[in-house]
Amino acid sequence: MLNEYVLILVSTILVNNFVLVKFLGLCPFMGVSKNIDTAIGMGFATTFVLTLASISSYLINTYILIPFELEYLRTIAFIVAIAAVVGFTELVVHKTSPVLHQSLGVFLPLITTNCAVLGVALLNVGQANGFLASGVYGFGAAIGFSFVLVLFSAIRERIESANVPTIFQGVPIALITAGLMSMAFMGFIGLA
Amino acid sequence: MLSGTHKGGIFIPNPYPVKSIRLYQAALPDKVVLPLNERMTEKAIPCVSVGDRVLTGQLIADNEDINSVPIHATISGHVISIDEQPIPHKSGLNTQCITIESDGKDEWVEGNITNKDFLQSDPNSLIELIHRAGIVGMGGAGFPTHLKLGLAQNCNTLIVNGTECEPGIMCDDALMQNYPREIIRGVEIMLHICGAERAIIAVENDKPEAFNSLLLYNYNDKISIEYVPTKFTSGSEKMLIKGLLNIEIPSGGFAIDEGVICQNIATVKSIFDAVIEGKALVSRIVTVTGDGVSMPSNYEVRLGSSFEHIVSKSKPNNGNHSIRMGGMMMGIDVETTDLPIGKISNCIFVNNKVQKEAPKECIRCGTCNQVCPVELLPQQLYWYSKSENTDKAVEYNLLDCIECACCSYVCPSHIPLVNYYSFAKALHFKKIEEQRKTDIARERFEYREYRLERNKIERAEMMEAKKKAIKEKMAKEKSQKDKISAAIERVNKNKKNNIDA
Amino acid sequence: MLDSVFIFSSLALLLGLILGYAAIKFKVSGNPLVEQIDAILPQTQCAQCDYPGCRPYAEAIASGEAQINQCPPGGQDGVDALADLLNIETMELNSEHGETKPKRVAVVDEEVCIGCTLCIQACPVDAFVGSTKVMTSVIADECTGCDLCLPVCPVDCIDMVEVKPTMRNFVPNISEVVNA
Repeated sequence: MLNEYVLILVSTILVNNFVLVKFLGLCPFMGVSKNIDTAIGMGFATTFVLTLASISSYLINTYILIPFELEYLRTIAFIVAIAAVVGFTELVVHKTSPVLHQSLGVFLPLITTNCAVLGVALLNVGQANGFLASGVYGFGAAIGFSFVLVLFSAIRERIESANVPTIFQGVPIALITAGLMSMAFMGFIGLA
Repeated sequence: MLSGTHKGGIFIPNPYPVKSIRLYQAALPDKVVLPLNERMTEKAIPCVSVGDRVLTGQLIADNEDINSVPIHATISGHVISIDEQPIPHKSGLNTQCITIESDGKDEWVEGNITNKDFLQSDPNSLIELIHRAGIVGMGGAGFPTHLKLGLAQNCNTLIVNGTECEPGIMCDDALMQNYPREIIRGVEIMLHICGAERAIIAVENDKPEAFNSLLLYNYNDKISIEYVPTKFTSGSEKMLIKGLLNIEIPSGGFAIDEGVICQNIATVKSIFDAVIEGKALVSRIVTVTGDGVSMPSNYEVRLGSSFEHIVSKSKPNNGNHSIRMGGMMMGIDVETTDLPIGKISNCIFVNNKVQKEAPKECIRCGTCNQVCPVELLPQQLYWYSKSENTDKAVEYNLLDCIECACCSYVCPSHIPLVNYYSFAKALHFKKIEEQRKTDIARERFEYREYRLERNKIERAEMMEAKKKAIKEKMAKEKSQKDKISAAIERVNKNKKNNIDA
Repeated sequence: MLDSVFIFSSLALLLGLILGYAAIKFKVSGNPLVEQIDAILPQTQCAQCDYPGCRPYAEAIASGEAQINQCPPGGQDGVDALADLLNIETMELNSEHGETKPKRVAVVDEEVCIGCTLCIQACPVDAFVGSTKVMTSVIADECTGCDLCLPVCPVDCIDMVEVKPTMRNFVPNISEVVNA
């Protein structure tokens, strides 16, 4: 029983990492990773959003969409739920840490259209997970996202002081680094 | 007995070994240049003027600030100028100095207090004596000795640093071989001042003559003499404490917090001179060595003499020389030998000029990380210092760097790493100072706005009050006028009534 | 179909109510951004940026009215720091507003001063000491080098003197570091 959840966690964090293996959620991955502190903040925000969105989309799907045979409204319903959760998160972040709100900037409301979040919600349905499994799946996905985001921002901070050739400075070298990290994560295939 | 040692550091062989250590008494110089502040002290104020005659050991500049030491004349003669002169400092800037021309007589000043029976004296009076004698740490830092001793509350161990700072320097070796009696006596004076239970004199293990010389004169149970491995940076205070006592002084902490005081051996001898013989600090032993001189030796020379005064005695060869004050690792390069010897000048290197290797790119080999004695990450500090990111560099403990240059020594790309660190440190302190000034300016501006606003309000209130007062006065006047006109009317009416009647 | 519209509308209404409640409960007053921008500006109060002081300029940047490259005393470093704070691309200092000059302080020529006190009123940080018909002097530590006292002096007796580095606060140029 516990095995199942551990397996979900390993799968979402390492083997099928949402950013480096599934290539979802690349927008905040590239946009927020210039600074480790911002990256950590973004990781927390996304974890909060993903877990809540995962659970609420499961609930909406199970108790509203399926009983009333409204499966065709699934995408819209999920987006409305995610948008509400993100709106709520933005208010909380603005109140508790204005600095973080300032440094995340536009990427905080962009979590709404983050394909990783909608992707998690839809994949949950596709895999027909139970309530707890959906929650763990969303949480694992968020942890994987945060983990990779923090690693990447640490590397980007070091690259900033290094001797990068002029044409590669800024985003190009970051994309190359992301590609190399993705190759490294391919090594986890077969783990779970 | 061999004690332990600290992590990091490098075993550097002596680049200019000599068969036997020679110590010469240098002749009296023709003139001396005495800077009013060196490294860690505040600038002193001269108490003599140009043209005055001064005697050796006479006080010529003093400062009320207890963080400084007084300056004494090191020869007798006349003061010929008080102006800016070049001194050996890495910035190359000049500082205010007093120049004295010698009259050749070397007359000492009379009437200095001595304390030959020091065991009966109060430690505070001895500390004051040391202060008045102008003694600073002669190992290179120049920290005022009376301040260090004054903080010694719960001292249990005194360490006397007889290790040379760097390979090639032999001044402490020469001191130990020639003045062992004075050193042991000086250690006893210090033991009495700081109340420690024991003293350890540290000697490098390639100097058996110095070790034996001290051993011969040591009769005190509290004093022990120990060998330390001849590794570079074992002469640094925190490293020495780690090696001898296996105590680590934390970052930002001081040795006295662990009950340990560390003093250089030349400072100890100066303390002997001040307490027992009543002599102020006027001379020191300086090594002259390098491949540009055929006779590397040590000279006991008066402070303020120029480098040239003793370099010329070491038989320098003809050729272009590069001159370095201090050691081969942490010293500073100077342009000429026409600079004065200070309290902290321990060595002068005279080397034939060689082409310095041009620095190449960092290959991230990590060798610098392995030799750092303070266990920092020089490679990370390099990248952050180079991009002027002082916040990140300070996070990586830039301020704990002792600038020993072990990392530069081992770098395969010949990058002068230490230059980057001292640059980053200077930049960091400048930023902090600027931020402090900006905050003060903001406060003053906001107060000014508040003051102008308050003045405006006060003036408006005052005008209001004045207006009210005038109105009241006018009203009172009006009522007075009414009374008067009513009275006149009554009188007129009465008159009319009287006429009618 | 009608029931799907009904369900969806009620779902949207529910979520909207929750958000509305949260918006009221988590209300934030003031704009902390202005404080952060003001902390970076050099507080010279010189008005070279076309705003009457550092705080008005900070407010203008926060509201998007002004660019970040209008402050010469802050220098290119200041522009970079502002760009970092606001998470935008850094730009070059706008030379229309002036050049970055090395740190200078005002010095009054004592022979010429007539004690008119116009400079005392002009200084934004009260760095002058003096009174009417009495000679005025500058407190060098407090002077920020803003130049606002120069135009008001009727006898032109104020000079701006460069502050020289001392042994204690000397910082070499990064390009000289390798050759030191």
